[in-house]
Amino acid sequence: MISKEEVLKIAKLAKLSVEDEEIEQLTSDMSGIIEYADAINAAEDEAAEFDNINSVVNAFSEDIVLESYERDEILMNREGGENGYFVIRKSLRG
Amino acid sequence: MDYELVVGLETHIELSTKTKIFCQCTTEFGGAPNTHCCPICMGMPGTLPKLNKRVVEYAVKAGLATNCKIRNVSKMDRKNYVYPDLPKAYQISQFDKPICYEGFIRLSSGKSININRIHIEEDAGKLVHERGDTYIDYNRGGVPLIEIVTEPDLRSIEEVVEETQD
Amino acid sequence: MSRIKYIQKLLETKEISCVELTEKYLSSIEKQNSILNAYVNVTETEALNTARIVDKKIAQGQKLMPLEGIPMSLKDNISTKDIETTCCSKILQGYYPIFDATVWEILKKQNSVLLGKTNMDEFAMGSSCETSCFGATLNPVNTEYVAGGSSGGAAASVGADMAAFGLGSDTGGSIRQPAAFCGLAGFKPTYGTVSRYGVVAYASSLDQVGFIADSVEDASIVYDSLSAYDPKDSTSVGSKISTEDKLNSSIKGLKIGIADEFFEGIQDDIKKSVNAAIKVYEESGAEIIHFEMPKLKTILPVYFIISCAEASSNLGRFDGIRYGYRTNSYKDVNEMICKTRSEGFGKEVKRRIMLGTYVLSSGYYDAYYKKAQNLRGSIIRDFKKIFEKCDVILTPSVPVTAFKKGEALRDPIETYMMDICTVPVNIAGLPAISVPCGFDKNNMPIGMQIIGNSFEDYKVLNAAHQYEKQTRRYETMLPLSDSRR
Repeated sequence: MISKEEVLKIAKLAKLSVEDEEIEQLTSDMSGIIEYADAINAAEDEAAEFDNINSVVNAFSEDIVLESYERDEILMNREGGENGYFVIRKSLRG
Repeated sequence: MDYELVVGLETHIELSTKTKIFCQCTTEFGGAPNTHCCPICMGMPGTLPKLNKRVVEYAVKAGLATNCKIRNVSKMDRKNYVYPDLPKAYQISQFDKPICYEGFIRLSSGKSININRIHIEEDAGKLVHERGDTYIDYNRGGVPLIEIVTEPDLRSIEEVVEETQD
Repeated sequence: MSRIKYIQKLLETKEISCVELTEKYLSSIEKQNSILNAYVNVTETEALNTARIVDKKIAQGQKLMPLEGIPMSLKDNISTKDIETTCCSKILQGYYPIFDATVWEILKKQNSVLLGKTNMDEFAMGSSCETSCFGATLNPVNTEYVAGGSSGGAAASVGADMAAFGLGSDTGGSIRQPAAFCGLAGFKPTYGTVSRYGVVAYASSLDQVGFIADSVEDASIVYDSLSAYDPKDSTSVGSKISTEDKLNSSIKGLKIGIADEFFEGIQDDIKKSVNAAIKVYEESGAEIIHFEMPKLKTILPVYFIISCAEASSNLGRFDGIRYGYRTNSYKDVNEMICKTRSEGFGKEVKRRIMLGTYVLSSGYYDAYYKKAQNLRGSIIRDFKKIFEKCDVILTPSVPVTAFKKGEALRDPIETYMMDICTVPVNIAGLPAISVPCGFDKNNMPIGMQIIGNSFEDYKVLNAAHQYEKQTRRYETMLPLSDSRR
């Protein structure tokens, strides 16, 4: 069982806001799913350590400079930014 | 009651590689904002990191210079948190298998300061605040760092200064 | 003959030009897409430009590359430079990537004709496309039913002759389930054989690009072009084995593993069809070997702990600062980020982010994520043991056939349980294909799944192809011809 307070704490960590109407349903959904997930506690893990899905190791690149992207491209999805910076106004009234 | 000063240090050091830790953008200092960036260090959806070999080499060198043990098998982990200077909302760092561990530095007094670990991680971008607005430059994002963590062995300001200079 | 090969034959013999062919497909999309909702973005200009390039090559007598001139679709989580890529989420509407996914780069180099981007569940989280911000995709076989998900758009595009093949992604069954629902071949390759670079990540250790096509042979042709090593993807291995060359290897003596656990809770007519398929294999000289999979039921909770954890991490970057949707009113930066995410993400995505954040939070990390990963290690070992005795494993693809719109979203756990047959494949990074093997009592398609050992994609495709040869009539008609159904 997960409590409403825990749900609100998780929402804060995940940077999500939960409306009052949503919290009841969300708490109940999450409780059910977490209870289902608890099934893994019954399973023995035979001290198996898992780090890597396909044993690829040492995938390295060389320390050679490649040309960076044009600033216009980097800022393209934010309407060109401001003086080359991404900007967040301190507050905005919609 | 007398208090005793007990200090452990966590020092971040920028590595002098030519390129960033997970992409091949330049690490050159200065440069107009957001001109040393690419989809990878910007954390654009779908991009994947590729580790710069020289970062590992330098980290190992730092470990050897501080009498550390070097791990045979090391890995990168994600430190998840949301902040405007962190494009992926996680910093790729090392958690439980840092590249170097259990070393020491000897001070001029002969005392040993033990080093718990040295690990590799990436730097975040730069935030500039002006009149309450937040401006962000990601040039520094992805620049490689090592973090050296000492045990709480330091006992005086002088020792701390000497440790840092070393 | 494969549809891809057939199209190329028509192009090379100049029976039809690439532009004419492309126009036929675009017309097919115009006629059907408003009902089926397979495409969220039709790239007409791009398609015709490529078609013109191909026609020039043909006029000059040049030989065509394996996928050259073939009209196809890309799931909308595959980055396409300067073409909107939304993952069917409000939070990425208006996002134009500045780079190409590697798989798209390869197809571009081969002059494959991109007809458009296809519908999907938001960020690939779902099994019916109903969580898409653009609404559900309907099943071309019968529009009362959904096409499945999360690669529902890809499946419907191929199933309705609106593309010759479609690329999608598969994290827990998102290629195989819609393929099964729509009566198509859906292949998920071994983890690491097809580059993930540029595919918007859902669960990084489970995601793979997959293909949906009319036939196994087509899936094999696409795989051979796209399974190159990619230095940009640190998990990339690629594959140097041509699966097309091995499609017609004999399956006499092929050891097929069957486990009862995969047949529990399966719809009766699906069991019947899959058992009939097993008989076909036996009659072709394959050997059936029974094995046990007692851990099957624990694989699902392992899967959604890992997938939710990785998803919550991968989706943290959507904060409105650098791209995508941004809320239009807030009192400080923190509120901007929270409101942007809450307004931009749909309900299912938010739920999975919350679950993922919970299992990764301190105090729970060891009990959930770490434990799930350790169990994963033991599941991988179990599969390795099974593949010492078997060449491939045969299971139903999905416990149910296509459901009607709105039926899926009632109970979250019931929805997740639909992935019981497909999820083990992603957990272990294995190759698997869904192939049509019958119809249910409502004439909706049934799919069976063939699973292989890591890097034995050729065995999976060979076994599936041999079954198709025995049982299916190939339709080798041009799109829009009446003989299709």
